[in-house]
Amino acid sequence: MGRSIWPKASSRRVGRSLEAHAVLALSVSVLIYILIVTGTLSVFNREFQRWEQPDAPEMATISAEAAERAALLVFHNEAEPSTHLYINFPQPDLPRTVITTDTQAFYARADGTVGGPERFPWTQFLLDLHYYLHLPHILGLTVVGAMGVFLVGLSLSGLLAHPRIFRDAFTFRRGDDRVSLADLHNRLSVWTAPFHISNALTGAMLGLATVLAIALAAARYDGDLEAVYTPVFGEEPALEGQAGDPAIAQSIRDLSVRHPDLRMTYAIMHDPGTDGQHVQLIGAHTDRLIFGDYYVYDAKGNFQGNTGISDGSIGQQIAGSVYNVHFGNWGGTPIKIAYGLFGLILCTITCSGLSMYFKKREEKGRPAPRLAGGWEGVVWGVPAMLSLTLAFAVSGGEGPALVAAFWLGLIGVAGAGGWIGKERIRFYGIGSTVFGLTAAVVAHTMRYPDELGSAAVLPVSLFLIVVAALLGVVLFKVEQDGKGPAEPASPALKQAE
Amino acid sequence: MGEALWPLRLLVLALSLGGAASLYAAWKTKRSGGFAVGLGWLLLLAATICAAFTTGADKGAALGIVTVIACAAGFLSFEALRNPRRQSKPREPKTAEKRSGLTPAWWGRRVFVGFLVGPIAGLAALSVTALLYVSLANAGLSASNNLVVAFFAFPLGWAGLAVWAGFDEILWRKSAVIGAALLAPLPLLAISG
Repeated sequence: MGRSIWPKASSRRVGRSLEAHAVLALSVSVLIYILIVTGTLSVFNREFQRWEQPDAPEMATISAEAAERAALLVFHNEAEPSTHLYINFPQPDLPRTVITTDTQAFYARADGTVGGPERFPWTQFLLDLHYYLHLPHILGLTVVGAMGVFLVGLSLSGLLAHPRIFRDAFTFRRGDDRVSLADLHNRLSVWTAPFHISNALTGAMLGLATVLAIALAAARYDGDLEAVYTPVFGEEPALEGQAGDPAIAQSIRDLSVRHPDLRMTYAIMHDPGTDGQHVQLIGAHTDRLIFGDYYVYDAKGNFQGNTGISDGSIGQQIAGSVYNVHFGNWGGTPIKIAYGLFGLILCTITCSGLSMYFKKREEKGRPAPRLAGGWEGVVWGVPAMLSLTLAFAVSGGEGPALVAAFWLGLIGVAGAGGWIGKERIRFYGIGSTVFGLTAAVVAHTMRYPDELGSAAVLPVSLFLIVVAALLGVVLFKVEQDGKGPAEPASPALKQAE
Repeated sequence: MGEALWPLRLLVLALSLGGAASLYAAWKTKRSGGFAVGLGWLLLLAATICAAFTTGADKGAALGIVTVIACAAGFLSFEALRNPRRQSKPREPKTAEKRSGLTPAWWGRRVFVGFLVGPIAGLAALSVTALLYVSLANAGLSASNNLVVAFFAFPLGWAGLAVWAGFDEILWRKSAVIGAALLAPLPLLAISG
């Protein structure tokens, strides 16, 4: 064999980078894993929303007049005047119109009448878990942002620790030992690096934005938070004499004429009904990564200008792209599927990394069977508890009950993993996931029998059944391989006992 | 418009596949594959640039990167499936190594490093970022661009310090570096803020 063209890495650098990689991974892998799983599912949050409430009124578009009528109907029926009023316009992946106030949200029908209240408890639970880990909002966002930072750190230290990153670009030796795990972990990490680095970084930016803004406001603007954000997201126009109902329909019609290429996503009425009220329409530019631009109108429907996210400074355009890059909603269904697969790969990278650590300990004569079992409990406990809470939500569970069920269940599964060992907890975890998914689909079908064939239900129900069936095959294989619950505990666990 | 772009989209796919194939071929030779490696990266770069013309430049480039990752993942899967599954050799169970750690001092050091990597490195990165923001504002950078620089600098700075804290073996040195990053900007912020 000839001389390699690849540069040699310093063994000291590799060793130290591996140490840094391990320190970070062992500290935060549980929370990072939860965020990756929930983030992967969150890419499809609109599909889950539709599935959870399939009988909501749907439409491809809504007329400006109907949207205004529904919005004002909801606004005038509020017990307390709402400081903001939102219209979510129908989108290809969520063809529904929703009117939201400070306290509640209702569906609008295509004729401008108001339908029932919006209700998707499991999707909300999932999003709250991904955004805040169910902690108080600013604290939760900051913790989630910090996890994004550590994922960036893991990517950096992983790349530094990779002595033969180019030489081994496609090496993949299949098997069930540590070499195979290392190949799986390293190859997937390297080739999907653009995805997981950009996702971790944008997640960190979104999560840490509040803390950063507080620090910058203190350092530069005497604590004025608004002064930090205004250059990017614009300032509220100083308007007077605007009292009365806002001319929402007039604003919508005007924007459709000015920018016929835009897809309207939201209308936001600030301080509706008051003297200083104004209307912001968010128009999505379908050929861009930005979430859209704000087009501002006074209450009479006169155009005041746009914020500049689409055509302003490069900083505004980058800031406007962060959300979409993170959540993968910039390229329709193909990009959502790609994000779903990349998310699944990131789950595999996380799991294989920790599995390598435990294998290495075993090989060094320092097995940690309880810790390994606990980690396996987390790996399979998260999907198990998500699927069981889905079944619970479809059967009527919501809010704090879902949160409590998830966290108590996960702690229980992780604890049980440490007690009964990784093989057994894997079996029970997969089994519970299969049961949860099947129960969710059965309960949903019983609750909405007339909607079974609808576009809101069929794709998601089929997907859940296919996942359950695939996991069922895995479960069968685990049993066949003699790693099921009937098998005695591993020698290491026995030794630990 | 959409119809007219199909040839360009197919070209993006072809360039991505060609680039990944070239890198795969270079890897297979396991020796002086410098030309194939260069060609591979060049084709992948060309795929990303061409993709930028299929729609808006930012969205197009992102689509190109997703296509490149998907093609590389395809070759990786091919390589994985091509290899027969190896049987791991049964290993002699090793006797447990005597561990020197697990003393209160060892635990104390671990907890301290945890704090160093987490909140202390985070505050240090925040402090440096605030100084960078104020300095760039004083230098005349527009507020929106400056804010985005800060958005990137804070998490990247924190991640860099966290990796450094795990990388460096000498506790006092990493504590000093992170401590300096935390404290040094504060008087400068007081003066220039």
